[in-house]
Amino acid sequence: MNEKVQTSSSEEDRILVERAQEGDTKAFDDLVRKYTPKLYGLVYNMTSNRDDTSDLLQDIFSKAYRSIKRFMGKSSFYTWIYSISVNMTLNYLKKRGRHIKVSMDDVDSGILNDPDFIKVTTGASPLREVNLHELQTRLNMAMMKLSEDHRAVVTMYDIQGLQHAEISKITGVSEGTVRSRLFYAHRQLQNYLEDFRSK
Amino acid sequence: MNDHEDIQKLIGLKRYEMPPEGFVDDLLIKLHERQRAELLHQSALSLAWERLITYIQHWSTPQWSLATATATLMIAAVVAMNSHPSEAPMAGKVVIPEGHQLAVSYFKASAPEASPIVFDVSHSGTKVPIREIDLLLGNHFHSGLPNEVGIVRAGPPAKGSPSGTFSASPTIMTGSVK
Repeated sequence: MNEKVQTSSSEEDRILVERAQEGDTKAFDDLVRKYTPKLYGLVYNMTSNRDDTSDLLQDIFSKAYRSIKRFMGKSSFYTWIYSISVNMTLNYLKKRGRHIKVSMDDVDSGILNDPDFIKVTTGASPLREVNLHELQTRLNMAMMKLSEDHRAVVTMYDIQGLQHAEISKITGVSEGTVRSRLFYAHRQLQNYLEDFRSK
Repeated sequence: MNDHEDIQKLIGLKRYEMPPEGFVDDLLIKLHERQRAELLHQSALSLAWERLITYIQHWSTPQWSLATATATLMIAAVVAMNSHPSEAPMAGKVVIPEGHQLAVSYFKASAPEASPIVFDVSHSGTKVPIREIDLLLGNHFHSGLPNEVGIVRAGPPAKGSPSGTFSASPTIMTGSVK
Protein backbone atom coordinates (compact mmCIF):
# COMPACT_ATOMS: atom_id res chain seq x y z
CA MET A 1 0.00 0.00 0.00
CA ASN A 2 2.70 2.41 1.09
CA GLU A 3 4.78 1.39 -1.92
CA LYS A 4 1.80 2.08 -4.18
CA VAL A 5 1.38 5.55 -2.72
CA GLN A 6 5.08 6.25 -3.20
CA THR A 7 4.99 5.05 -6.83
CA SER A 8 2.01 7.23 -7.65
CA SER A 9 3.72 10.15 -5.94
CA SER A 10 6.87 9.56 -8.00
CA GLU A 11 4.79 9.35 -11.17
CA GLU A 12 3.03 12.57 -10.23
CA ASP A 13 6.42 14.21 -9.63
CA ARG A 14 7.75 12.96 -12.97
CA ILE A 15 4.84 14.54 -14.82
CA LEU A 16 5.23 17.81 -12.91
CA VAL A 17 8.97 17.83 -13.55
CA GLU A 18 8.47 17.24 -17.28
CA ARG A 19 5.98 20.07 -17.45
CA ALA A 20 8.30 22.34 -15.46
CA GLN A 21 11.15 21.45 -17.81
CA GLU A 22 8.97 22.57 -20.71
CA GLY A 23 8.56 25.93 -19.01
CA ASP A 24 5.26 25.38 -17.19
CA THR A 25 5.76 27.56 -14.10
CA LYS A 26 2.51 26.33 -12.55
CA ALA A 27 3.92 22.81 -12.51
CA PHE A 28 7.00 24.05 -10.68
CA ASP A 29 4.74 25.88 -8.20
CA ASP A 30 2.96 22.59 -7.55
CA LEU A 31 6.29 20.96 -6.75
CA VAL A 32 7.09 23.85 -4.39
CA ARG A 33 3.74 23.46 -2.64
CA LYS A 34 4.21 19.74 -2.32
CA TYR A 35 7.75 19.77 -0.97
CA THR A 36 7.84 22.94 1.12
CA PRO A 37 6.45 21.37 4.33
CA LYS A 38 8.97 18.49 4.18
CA LEU A 39 11.90 20.69 3.25
CA TYR A 40 10.89 23.26 5.81
CA GLY A 41 11.14 20.57 8.50
CA LEU A 42 14.52 19.48 7.19
CA VAL A 43 16.03 22.96 7.01
CA TYR A 44 14.42 24.26 10.19
CA ASN A 45 15.62 21.32 12.25
CA MET A 46 19.11 21.76 10.89
CA THR A 47 19.28 25.54 11.44
CA SER A 48 16.89 26.08 14.40
CA ASN A 49 16.07 29.46 12.92
CA ARG A 50 12.90 30.42 11.10
CA ASP A 51 14.33 33.33 9.10
CA ASP A 52 17.30 31.29 7.97
CA THR A 53 14.92 28.54 6.97
CA SER A 54 12.81 30.91 4.92
CA ASP A 55 15.87 32.37 3.16
CA LEU A 56 17.38 28.98 2.52
CA LEU A 57 14.17 27.59 1.08
CA GLN A 58 14.05 30.47 -1.37
CA ASP A 59 17.63 29.72 -2.37
CA ILE A 60 16.92 26.01 -2.66
CA PHE A 61 13.85 26.37 -4.85
CA SER A 62 15.50 29.08 -6.94
CA LYS A 63 18.42 26.78 -7.58
CA ALA A 64 16.06 23.90 -8.37
CA TYR A 65 14.15 26.15 -10.80
CA ARG A 66 17.34 27.13 -12.58
CA SER A 67 18.58 23.53 -12.70
CA ILE A 68 15.39 21.65 -13.44
CA LYS A 69 16.14 21.42 -17.16
CA ARG A 70 19.34 19.55 -16.29
CA PHE A 71 17.50 17.10 -14.02
CA MET A 72 17.75 13.84 -15.94
CA GLY A 73 15.49 11.76 -13.71
CA LYS A 74 18.22 9.32 -12.70
CA SER A 75 17.01 9.67 -9.12
CA SER A 76 13.55 10.68 -7.95
CA PHE A 77 12.76 14.37 -7.76
CA TYR A 78 12.34 13.82 -4.03
CA THR A 79 15.94 12.60 -3.64
CA TRP A 80 17.21 15.35 -5.93
CA ILE A 81 15.52 18.23 -4.10
CA TYR A 82 16.50 16.75 -0.73
CA SER A 83 20.13 16.54 -1.85
CA ILE A 84 20.11 20.17 -2.92
CA SER A 85 18.53 21.15 0.39
CA VAL A 86 20.94 19.19 2.58
CA ASN A 87 24.00 20.42 0.69
CA MET A 88 22.92 24.05 0.68
CA THR A 89 21.96 23.96 4.35
CA LEU A 90 25.25 22.32 5.34
CA ASN A 91 27.17 24.94 3.34
CA TYR A 92 25.17 27.68 5.00
CA LEU A 93 25.80 26.25 8.48
CA LYS A 94 29.52 26.02 7.81
CA LYS A 95 29.54 29.69 6.82
CA ARG A 96 27.37 30.69 9.74
CA GLY A 97 29.74 29.03 12.19
CA ARG A 98 28.85 29.40 15.82
CA HIS A 99 26.68 32.49 15.47
CA ILE A 100 23.48 30.67 16.19
CA LYS A 101 20.32 32.56 16.76
CA VAL A 102 17.62 30.13 17.75
CA SER A 103 14.06 31.01 16.90
CA MET A 104 11.42 28.41 17.42
CA ASP A 105 8.41 27.42 15.44
CA ASP A 106 4.88 27.02 16.56
CA VAL A 107 4.11 23.52 17.70
CA ASP A 108 1.12 21.77 16.28
CA SER A 109 -1.46 21.04 18.95
CA GLY A 110 -1.48 17.42 17.85
CA ILE A 111 1.56 16.91 20.04
CA LEU A 112 -0.63 17.09 23.14
CA ASN A 113 -2.24 13.79 22.16
CA ASP A 114 0.98 12.11 21.18
CA PRO A 115 1.65 9.18 23.52
CA ASP A 116 5.37 9.93 23.57
CA PHE A 117 4.70 13.52 24.62
CA ILE A 118 2.26 12.38 27.30
CA LYS A 119 4.83 9.91 28.56
CA VAL A 120 7.48 12.59 28.81
CA THR A 121 5.33 15.18 30.48
CA THR A 122 3.38 12.99 32.88
CA GLY A 123 3.70 9.92 34.95
CA ALA A 124 6.93 8.81 36.46
CA SER A 125 9.08 11.46 34.83
CA PRO A 126 10.73 13.76 37.36
CA LEU A 127 9.96 16.60 34.94
CA ARG A 128 6.27 15.87 34.64
CA GLU A 129 5.58 19.54 35.16
CA VAL A 130 7.53 20.37 32.07
CA ASN A 131 5.64 22.47 29.62
CA LEU A 132 5.61 22.30 25.90
CA HIS A 133 7.79 25.36 25.42
CA GLU A 134 10.46 24.03 27.71
CA LEU A 135 10.50 20.70 25.96
CA GLN A 136 10.82 22.42 22.61
CA THR A 137 13.68 24.57 23.87
CA ARG A 138 15.56 21.60 25.26
CA LEU A 139 15.11 19.55 22.12
CA ASN A 140 16.36 22.41 19.97
CA MET A 141 19.35 23.01 22.20
CA ALA A 142 20.21 19.32 22.14
CA MET A 143 20.00 19.25 18.36
CA MET A 144 22.26 22.28 18.06
CA LYS A 145 24.93 20.52 20.12
CA LEU A 146 25.29 17.90 17.41
CA SER A 147 27.63 18.43 14.48
CA GLU A 148 25.93 19.53 11.24
CA ASP A 149 26.36 16.12 9.62
CA HIS A 150 24.93 14.27 12.63
CA ARG A 151 22.08 16.76 12.88
CA ALA A 152 21.19 16.22 9.24
CA VAL A 153 20.99 12.46 9.71
CA VAL A 154 18.97 12.73 12.93
CA THR A 155 16.58 15.16 11.25
CA MET A 156 15.98 12.90 8.28
CA TYR A 157 15.77 9.64 10.23
CA ASP A 158 14.24 10.46 13.61
CA ILE A 159 12.10 13.46 12.72
CA GLN A 160 11.20 12.92 9.08
CA GLY A 161 11.14 9.13 9.04
CA LEU A 162 13.39 8.56 6.02
CA GLN A 163 15.08 5.18 5.62
CA HIS A 164 18.82 4.61 5.88
CA ALA A 165 19.04 3.89 2.14
CA GLU A 166 17.26 7.12 1.24
CA ILE A 167 19.50 9.16 3.55
CA SER A 168 22.51 7.45 2.01
CA LYS A 169 21.42 8.52 -1.50
CA ILE A 170 20.65 12.07 -0.40
CA THR A 171 23.86 12.65 1.52
CA GLY A 172 26.09 10.62 -0.77
CA VAL A 173 27.58 8.57 2.06
CA SER A 174 27.26 4.82 2.63
CA GLU A 175 24.43 3.32 4.64
CA GLY A 176 27.02 2.19 7.16
CA THR A 177 28.10 5.80 7.67
CA VAL A 178 24.47 6.84 8.09
CA ARG A 179 23.96 4.18 10.78
CA SER A 180 27.17 5.09 12.54
CA ARG A 181 26.30 8.79 12.53
CA LEU A 182 22.90 7.95 13.98
CA PHE A 183 24.43 5.81 16.69
CA TYR A 184 26.84 8.51 17.86
CA ALA A 185 24.22 11.22 17.58
CA HIS A 186 21.78 9.24 19.74
CA ARG A 187 24.44 8.68 22.34
CA GLN A 188 25.14 12.41 22.53
CA LEU A 189 21.45 13.21 22.69
CA GLN A 190 20.97 10.78 25.55
CA ASN A 191 23.39 12.81 27.62
CA TYR A 192 21.75 16.12 26.78
CA LEU A 193 18.22 14.86 27.37
CA GLU A 194 18.79 12.47 30.24
CA ASP A 195 16.22 14.08 32.53
CA PHE A 196 13.49 13.90 29.89
CA ARG A 197 13.75 10.22 29.30
CA SER A 198 11.23 7.92 30.91
CA LYS A 199 12.57 6.04 33.88
CA MET B 1 12.38 -0.23 24.70
CA ASN B 2 16.09 0.63 24.53
CA ASP B 3 17.79 3.98 25.03
CA HIS B 4 18.08 4.69 21.35
CA GLU B 5 14.37 4.16 20.78
CA ASP B 6 13.60 6.49 23.70
CA ILE B 7 15.73 9.22 22.24
CA GLN B 8 14.32 8.62 18.80
CA LYS B 9 10.78 9.08 20.11
CA LEU B 10 11.72 12.16 22.06
CA ILE B 11 13.47 13.83 19.15
CA GLY B 12 10.64 12.66 16.91
CA LEU B 13 8.34 15.07 18.76
CA LYS B 14 10.00 17.84 16.77
CA ARG B 15 7.88 16.77 13.82
CA TYR B 16 5.05 18.76 15.39
CA GLU B 17 6.91 21.98 14.82
CA MET B 18 5.23 23.62 11.89
CA PRO B 19 5.94 26.57 9.59
CA PRO B 20 3.86 29.67 10.28
CA GLU B 21 0.48 29.81 8.63
CA GLY B 22 0.60 31.03 5.03
CA PHE B 23 4.29 30.22 4.80
CA VAL B 24 3.99 28.32 1.52
CA ASP B 25 2.03 31.13 -0.15
CA ASP B 26 4.52 33.74 1.05
CA LEU B 27 7.38 31.59 -0.17
CA LEU B 28 5.78 31.27 -3.60
CA ILE B 29 5.31 35.05 -3.82
CA LYS B 30 8.98 35.62 -2.92
CA LEU B 31 10.07 32.95 -5.37
CA HIS B 32 8.08 34.51 -8.19
CA GLU B 33 9.63 37.91 -7.40
CA ARG B 34 13.07 36.33 -7.51
CA GLN B 35 12.37 34.50 -10.74
CA ARG B 36 11.18 37.74 -12.33
CA ALA B 37 14.26 39.62 -11.09
CA GLU B 38 16.55 36.88 -12.39
CA LEU B 39 14.71 36.87 -15.70
CA LEU B 40 15.09 40.65 -16.03
CA HIS B 41 18.75 40.44 -15.12
CA GLN B 42 19.23 37.67 -17.68
CA SER B 43 17.26 39.67 -20.22
CA ALA B 44 19.54 42.68 -19.80
CA LEU B 45 22.61 40.51 -20.26
CA SER B 46 21.17 38.54 -23.14
CA LEU B 47 19.97 41.75 -24.78
CA ALA B 48 23.47 43.21 -24.64
CA TRP B 49 24.87 39.95 -25.98
CA GLU B 50 22.28 39.81 -28.73
CA ARG B 51 23.11 43.36 -29.80
CA LEU B 52 26.79 42.51 -29.97
CA ILE B 53 26.09 39.41 -32.05
CA THR B 54 23.78 41.37 -34.34
CA TYR B 55 26.40 44.06 -34.75
CA ILE B 56 29.03 41.50 -35.70
CA GLN B 57 26.62 39.67 -38.00
CA HIS B 58 25.73 42.99 -39.59
CA TRP B 59 29.31 43.38 -40.68
CA SER B 60 29.44 39.94 -42.12
CA THR B 61 26.37 40.26 -44.35
CA PRO B 62 27.10 40.11 -48.12
CA GLN B 63 26.29 43.77 -48.78
CA TRP B 64 28.66 44.88 -46.06
CA SER B 65 31.28 42.39 -47.14
CA LEU B 66 31.11 43.80 -50.63
CA ALA B 67 31.28 47.37 -49.35
CA THR B 68 34.13 46.52 -47.00
CA ALA B 69 35.99 44.68 -49.74
CA THR B 70 35.47 47.57 -52.20
CA ALA B 71 36.64 50.11 -49.64
CA THR B 72 39.65 47.99 -48.79
CA LEU B 73 40.53 47.61 -52.46
CA MET B 74 40.17 51.33 -53.07
CA ILE B 75 42.35 52.18 -50.11
CA ALA B 76 44.92 49.61 -51.26
CA ALA B 77 44.85 51.07 -54.77
CA VAL B 78 45.34 54.63 -53.52
CA VAL B 79 48.18 53.51 -51.30
CA ALA B 80 49.75 51.62 -54.18
CA MET B 81 49.44 54.59 -56.52
CA ASN B 82 50.91 56.97 -53.99
CA SER B 83 53.60 54.70 -52.77
CA HIS B 84 57.08 55.52 -53.95
CA PRO B 85 58.49 53.03 -56.43
CA SER B 86 61.69 52.87 -54.48
CA GLU B 87 59.65 51.44 -51.62
CA ALA B 88 57.99 48.96 -53.93
CA PRO B 89 60.59 47.56 -56.24
CA MET B 90 59.15 46.22 -59.43
CA ALA B 91 60.04 43.74 -62.10
CA GLY B 92 63.59 42.95 -62.95
CA LYS B 93 63.31 44.02 -66.61
CA VAL B 94 62.40 47.27 -68.27
CA VAL B 95 61.29 48.12 -71.78
CA ILE B 96 63.09 51.03 -73.39
CA PRO B 97 61.21 52.34 -76.36
CA GLU B 98 63.25 52.52 -79.53
CA GLY B 99 65.53 55.54 -79.83
CA HIS B 100 65.04 56.50 -76.22
CA GLN B 101 67.58 56.96 -73.54
CA LEU B 102 67.24 56.17 -69.91
CA ALA B 103 67.82 59.02 -67.57
CA VAL B 104 68.80 57.97 -64.10
CA SER B 105 69.60 60.20 -61.23
CA TYR B 106 71.01 59.13 -57.96
CA PHE B 107 70.55 60.60 -54.57
CA LYS B 108 72.82 60.55 -51.65
CA ALA B 109 71.04 59.40 -48.61
CA SER B 110 72.42 62.35 -46.68
CA ALA B 111 71.86 64.98 -49.38
CA PRO B 112 69.10 63.90 -51.69
CA GLU B 113 69.66 66.27 -54.52
CA ALA B 114 69.22 64.99 -58.00
CA SER B 115 71.98 65.08 -60.50
CA PRO B 116 70.76 63.30 -63.61
CA ILE B 117 73.19 60.91 -65.15
CA VAL B 118 72.19 59.84 -68.61
CA PHE B 119 72.90 56.36 -69.79
CA ASP B 120 72.66 55.31 -73.34
CA VAL B 121 70.73 52.14 -73.40
CA SER B 122 71.08 50.56 -76.73
CA HIS B 123 68.53 47.82 -76.21
CA SER B 124 65.82 49.99 -77.51
CA GLY B 125 62.47 48.39 -77.84
CA THR B 126 63.54 45.38 -75.85
CA LYS B 127 63.45 44.37 -72.28
CA VAL B 128 66.63 45.36 -70.53
CA PRO B 129 67.62 43.30 -67.54
CA ILE B 130 68.05 45.42 -64.50
CA ARG B 131 71.36 43.77 -64.06
CA GLU B 132 72.62 45.63 -67.15
CA ILE B 133 71.51 48.97 -65.79
CA ASP B 134 73.21 48.04 -62.58
CA LEU B 135 76.34 47.33 -64.57
CA LEU B 136 76.07 50.66 -66.32
CA LEU B 137 75.82 52.36 -62.97
CA GLY B 138 78.67 50.26 -61.70
CA ASN B 139 80.80 51.26 -64.66
CA HIS B 140 79.93 54.85 -64.13
CA PHE B 141 81.12 54.70 -60.57
CA HIS B 142 83.99 52.40 -61.51
CA SER B 143 84.16 50.76 -58.16
CA GLY B 144 80.47 49.90 -58.06
CA LEU B 145 77.70 51.84 -56.47
CA PRO B 146 78.97 54.07 -53.67
CA ASN B 147 77.78 53.28 -50.21
CA GLU B 148 76.24 56.65 -49.77
CA VAL B 149 73.79 55.98 -52.57
CA GLY B 150 70.49 55.54 -50.91
CA ILE B 151 68.20 55.60 -53.88
CA VAL B 152 68.80 55.55 -57.57
CA ARG B 153 65.80 56.49 -59.59
CA ALA B 154 64.86 57.78 -62.93
CA GLY B 155 64.87 61.51 -63.01
CA PRO B 156 63.51 63.79 -65.65
CA PRO B 157 64.20 61.96 -68.85
CA ALA B 158 66.77 63.36 -71.19
CA LYS B 159 65.40 64.72 -74.38
CA GLY B 160 63.49 61.96 -76.10
CA SER B 161 64.07 59.44 -73.36
CA PRO B 162 61.19 57.69 -71.72
CA SER B 163 59.87 58.61 -68.38
CA GLY B 164 60.47 55.97 -65.87
CA THR B 165 61.14 55.11 -62.32
CA PHE B 166 63.86 53.01 -60.83
CA SER B 167 65.00 52.10 -57.48
CA ALA B 168 68.21 50.50 -56.45
CA SER B 169 70.28 49.55 -53.55
CA PRO B 170 74.03 49.00 -53.81
CA THR B 171 73.33 45.41 -54.70
CA ILE B 172 69.86 45.33 -56.15
CA MET B 173 68.21 47.44 -58.73
CA THR B 174 64.70 47.18 -59.95
CA GLY B 175 62.54 49.49 -61.92
CA SER B 176 60.06 50.23 -64.62
CA VAL B 177 59.60 52.55 -67.51
CA LYS B 178 56.23 53.93 -68.36
